[in-house]
Amino acid sequence: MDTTTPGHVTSRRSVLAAGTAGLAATALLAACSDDGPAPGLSGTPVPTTEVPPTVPPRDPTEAQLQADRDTFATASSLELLAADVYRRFGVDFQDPELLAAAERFATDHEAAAAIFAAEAGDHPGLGEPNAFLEENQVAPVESLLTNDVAIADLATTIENSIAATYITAVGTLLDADWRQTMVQHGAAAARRAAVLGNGGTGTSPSAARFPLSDLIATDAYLTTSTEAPAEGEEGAEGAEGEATE
Amino acid sequence: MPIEPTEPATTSGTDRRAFLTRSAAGGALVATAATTGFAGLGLVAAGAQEGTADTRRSINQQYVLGAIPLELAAVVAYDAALSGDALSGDLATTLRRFQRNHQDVAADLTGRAHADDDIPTADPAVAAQFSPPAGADEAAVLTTLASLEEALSATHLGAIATFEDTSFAKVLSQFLTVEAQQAVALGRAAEQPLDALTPAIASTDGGLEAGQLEAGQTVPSPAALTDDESDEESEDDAETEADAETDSDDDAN
Repeated sequence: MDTTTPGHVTSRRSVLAAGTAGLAATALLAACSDDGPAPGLSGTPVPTTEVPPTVPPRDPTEAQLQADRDTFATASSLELLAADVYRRFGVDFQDPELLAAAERFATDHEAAAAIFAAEAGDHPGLGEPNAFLEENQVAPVESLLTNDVAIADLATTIENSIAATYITAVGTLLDADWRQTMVQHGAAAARRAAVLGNGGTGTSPSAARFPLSDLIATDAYLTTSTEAPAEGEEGAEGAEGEATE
Repeated sequence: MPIEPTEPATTSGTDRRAFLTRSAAGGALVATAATTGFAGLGLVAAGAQEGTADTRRSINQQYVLGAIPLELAAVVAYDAALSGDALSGDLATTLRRFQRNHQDVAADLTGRAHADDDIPTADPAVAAQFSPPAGADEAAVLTTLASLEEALSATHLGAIATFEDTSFAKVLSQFLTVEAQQAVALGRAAEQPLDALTPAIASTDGGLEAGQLEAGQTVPSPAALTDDESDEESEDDAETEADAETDSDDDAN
């Protein structure tokens, strides 16, 4: 079906109308009968509601609020990880354009980290690059980061992870404005990935939806236990940050 | 992820366009099947279904009626770009992939429209605004399409905060992120400055609305809205070009 030709209109209503003509005829015949309710029906049909009832909004629970704070803390740690990679390894770019870009990207990531940290509250692991990803994604390849291709590929992976993680967070964040803010940062990360991809020569998307395959592992998320501390224990002892282990 | 050490890649103007052609020749061109959601299934915004027939449509369904014409306008604009002779074979293949992505987005959004709504067609003004003029060279084609991608991405981004339905917001986020990457790919191939293509955060400036543009009306690109220096350089270039033309006329006389 050509949906690109100007003036062409497709009506779902016309499609539905053709299929229901037979049903209407059957209903008419049934209505003409004095033998009681139509086949398949008993009693008086339930009256339909023209305007369905609305769902009243509910206040978020403490667990939901904490989940948001965990998301912001995680985002801040991801931003710091990216900044750290650019600061440590981006300085070794031989290409002058990538070298200059790495410096700017590091600054942008540090600014983003501060934005998210401000929303995370008092959270374990805050203020540090994501420890899990540093250990599992950066450290294993550190010795190989000796040329532009390797450095750009690592940076691309981290940027794609940020984009995928932030888009995923859109599905859970409570505040609509923060959902937009997350996407603004995620899309920016995806743009950097498009520049740095394929060893620094750039890549382009192959599908209409940004893939979420680079979503960070569960262990990379910074979390805080919301369980109430046992009697006599300090509240801080009830909190644990997985990324700091 | 293992990183195999290779010889350092040199980046040049040719290489920037090369990646578009290389991805077309060797990459898997995924023809994403159009996803058809059921209108109303899980997409109803809390509090949206009350009052008149118009407000009974969810915010999502209202949005898609405005977004579909824009995405279809992009398809038309790519048609115009691909109809000329300015593009190499491999570059044209990549642009067809971008065009197909917009078609897929339009198809997905169509599946989310209200059952009683007629599906809109391409916005003619937007299609005209972002269709490269006949005879345009490769750089002009790429620049025009890059502006189109920026505008579409900004449009969807600007709407994210209006949705209570987080699942729809997430899907739209995936679409706009791809469009942002397409803008970067086209911009890089057109040798636009890297800093303009990689802002600290994505912008909502330059977003479109279906029916917003009158025939012949122009919309500045998001880069132009924020980059005053490039505006000044453009004016200087225009003056230099005018001077060159004057000198050329004098020489002819």
